[in-house]
Amino acid sequence: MSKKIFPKNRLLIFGLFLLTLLIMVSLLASYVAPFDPNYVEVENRLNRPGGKNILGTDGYGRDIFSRIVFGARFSLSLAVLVVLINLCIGVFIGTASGFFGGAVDELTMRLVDILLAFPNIIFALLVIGILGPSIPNLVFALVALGWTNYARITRGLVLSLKEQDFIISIKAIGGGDFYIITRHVIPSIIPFLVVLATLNMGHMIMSIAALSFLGLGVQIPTPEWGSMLSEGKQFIFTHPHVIISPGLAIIIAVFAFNLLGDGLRDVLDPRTKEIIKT
Amino acid sequence: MESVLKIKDLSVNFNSKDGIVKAANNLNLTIYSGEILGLIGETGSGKTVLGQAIIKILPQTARVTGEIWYGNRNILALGEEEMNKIRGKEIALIFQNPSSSLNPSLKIGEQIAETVQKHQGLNKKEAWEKAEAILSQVGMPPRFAHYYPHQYSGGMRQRAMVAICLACQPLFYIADEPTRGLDVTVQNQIAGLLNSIIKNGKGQRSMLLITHDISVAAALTDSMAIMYAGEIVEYGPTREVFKNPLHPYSKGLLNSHPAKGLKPIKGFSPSLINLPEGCKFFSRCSRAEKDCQKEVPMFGRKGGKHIVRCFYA
Amino acid sequence: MLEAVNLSKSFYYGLFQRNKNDAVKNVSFKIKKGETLCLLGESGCGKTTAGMMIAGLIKPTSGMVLYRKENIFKYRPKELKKFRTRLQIIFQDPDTVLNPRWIIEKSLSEPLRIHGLANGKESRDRIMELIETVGLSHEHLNRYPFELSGGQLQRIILARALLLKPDFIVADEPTSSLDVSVQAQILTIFKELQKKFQLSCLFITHDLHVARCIADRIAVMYKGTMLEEGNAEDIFSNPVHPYTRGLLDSLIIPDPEAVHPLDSNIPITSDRNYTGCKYKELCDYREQICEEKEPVLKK
Repeated sequence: MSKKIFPKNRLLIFGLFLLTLLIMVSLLASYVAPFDPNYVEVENRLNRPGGKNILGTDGYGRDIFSRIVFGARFSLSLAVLVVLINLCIGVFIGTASGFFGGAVDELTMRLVDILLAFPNIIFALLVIGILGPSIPNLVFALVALGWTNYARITRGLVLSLKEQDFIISIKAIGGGDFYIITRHVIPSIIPFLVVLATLNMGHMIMSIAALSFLGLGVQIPTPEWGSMLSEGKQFIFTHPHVIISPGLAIIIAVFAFNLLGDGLRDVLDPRTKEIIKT
Repeated sequence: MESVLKIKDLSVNFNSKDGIVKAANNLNLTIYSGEILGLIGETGSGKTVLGQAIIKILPQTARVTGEIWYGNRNILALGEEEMNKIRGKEIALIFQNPSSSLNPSLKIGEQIAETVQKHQGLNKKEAWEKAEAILSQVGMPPRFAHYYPHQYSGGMRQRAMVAICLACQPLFYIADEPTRGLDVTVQNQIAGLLNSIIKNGKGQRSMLLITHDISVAAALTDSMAIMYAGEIVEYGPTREVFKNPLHPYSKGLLNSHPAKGLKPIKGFSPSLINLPEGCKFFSRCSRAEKDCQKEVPMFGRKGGKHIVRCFYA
Repeated sequence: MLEAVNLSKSFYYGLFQRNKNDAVKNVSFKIKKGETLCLLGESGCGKTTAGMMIAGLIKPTSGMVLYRKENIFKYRPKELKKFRTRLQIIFQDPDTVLNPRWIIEKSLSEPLRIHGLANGKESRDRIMELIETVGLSHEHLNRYPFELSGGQLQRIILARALLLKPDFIVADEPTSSLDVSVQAQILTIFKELQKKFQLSCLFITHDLHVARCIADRIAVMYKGTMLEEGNAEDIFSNPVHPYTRGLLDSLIIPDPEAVHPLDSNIPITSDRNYTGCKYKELCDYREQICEEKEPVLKK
């Protein structure tokens, strides 16, 4: 059935194509990139796009295209890492509190309510400000709040699922809680979670870039889109190409994930729309 | 007797991704004024589709052929604008599920008054008084007009639904499974209410009662048509059909009722997508012969108005 | 075999859980081996809650359920799992009972997997045998639930219930969402199987016609309390409680010649808790004592 629906969904296909391209590029970065991303060549600084350096060079004379290609690696893998950790924590807590209810549920959900009251990026700023800028701290800062959304949505899905006859009937047959959760509950909510995680990827890429831009994430000179923007910001009026290319890269990546997420949402289950609103 | 509604060669098909769904095939049916005609059938027999075709609320994907004559107008040839004048005002539909057809944020009285205002041009106060009067017609005290649908029980919502239908004094009613899902005592009340509406109409009002419940059909209807797999297989005065059911399916259906022996028909109803050639009941019929599989039997007349679609009845 | 002793269940709701709703109040009955007790009542009378308590799926507020003289709510986890093989429950709406993402075969073999009884051929043979007993064939095994009709699904669910060779079935309105002819098929199969496997049964229904043809004994429930209990024959031929009488009188029978007691008047009752008999508001025989005391069951 899904085979029939896929070709119709052009946006999904396009998103999938963009994403595959991005992943391929980041995996094969050392083959795709024409230069070493960290090779400084001061005499070639701030070259305009075209010629030897396709997208020009930055303030230190490094090849921007190569830096973007290697940057994809950092931006994507960091975002994937953060989303996966969030997903795991969120699903674990959400399922536990939705399925068992009671005091555990009350406690975790009040915690979630409190955490959700903080604006994401400001909370991350606070955490990094205290712990100091580094990649592990960046991941920690984004996870500290990120899991709450997954927990909340998972809990809602589990709550409605657990009242359904097919879950009750398995309980009546003698299936234990662990069996029901792993065989019935989690498989039933996976489609929703996949969509949620995909849509969340774009958001994460933005957050990581934003924190790096502020100098709180990936540190220079590591090639990363956000830190590239940060380094290039002094040339914004004189040599805008330094900033436009990494900016476009971020936009394209976010766009690709959002297209994919929206497409998946439509294909997997029309009902998802009501539950996951971004 | 004068006929109110005449259905001629009505067929309804739907396109689905698995093929064409033949929901109704060549239906012919006449409803006379003053009578309650029961349309009896099970899930997937096409009975609801017939009701929807009469007031033209079928989904867009439906393809309808044939004629439905209401007085001297062919409903199927009417435009949407003219149809809107008929719906509610001349032909009313009483739904199976009243809770989804009532507006949850308006008081019942307001919902009735709104209809009255629209169709009879009364002012607000007069319309409200009228609404209270209509509510007492369906057996509810006037104070119930101030309640919201969620304050009503299932049976009362069905009454409210009937009250809204009554607001414009239509002459023809389509009731689609009005008693399904209600408790025994409440079923009895609703059946009584529908009966009194038609019988108090001085022979002017008539009703098409679509139901799967043969007890309700026995209690209310004057004549009945039995549908199977998109076709009418038997039609006749209710007493005669019950006393002497002719079609093997009708017999099976009546005998399936717990109060009439609980003798099941073997097998399953066919899917409306892959309908067999010939008689649709062939594979489940104990009296079937070879020729039943070849062609669809025509209606045979069995005395008076009792007709049946079977070679061997 | 199975005994309910003073089962009660109250739900609390509203701000600060101040409002109390007695869904089931002091319900007691016994079911012998091979016997069918019909729990008869209108929607909202607490019959489903009572059934869920019998099946051990809801904990009662007070009272107990004895299965072979043991309180099922005192079971240790291991005993409870064993009990789950002895008692099976059949739900009202067959469309929702199977995991919609699983093919029938996977759902059918699930009880065997849960209890570690599934070993290849043996389990498959048992499934095949049962699927034929309920009038289906192996071709239905590879389908998804949405591809089957309600009647076919209810057969599958019956087969699954019998897979673990239970001796007690709780059937909660198993045919109320089905057509008359399909209902006849399911009830006939049910009766056959019950005889074949010597099953005891708690059959919950609102349909007097169904109750009459399936029950050995009938218990009538109204607003959470049991009003009358007795042999099915006695209840139908000689109902004692005014409510039961009213219920029987309002029954529409499938015969156009009969005089149908159609009554379009609306009875109005309040939902609030009050003292005295639950049925007093509608009762023709109401007297002062009905207002003051709640009557108890007597022989």
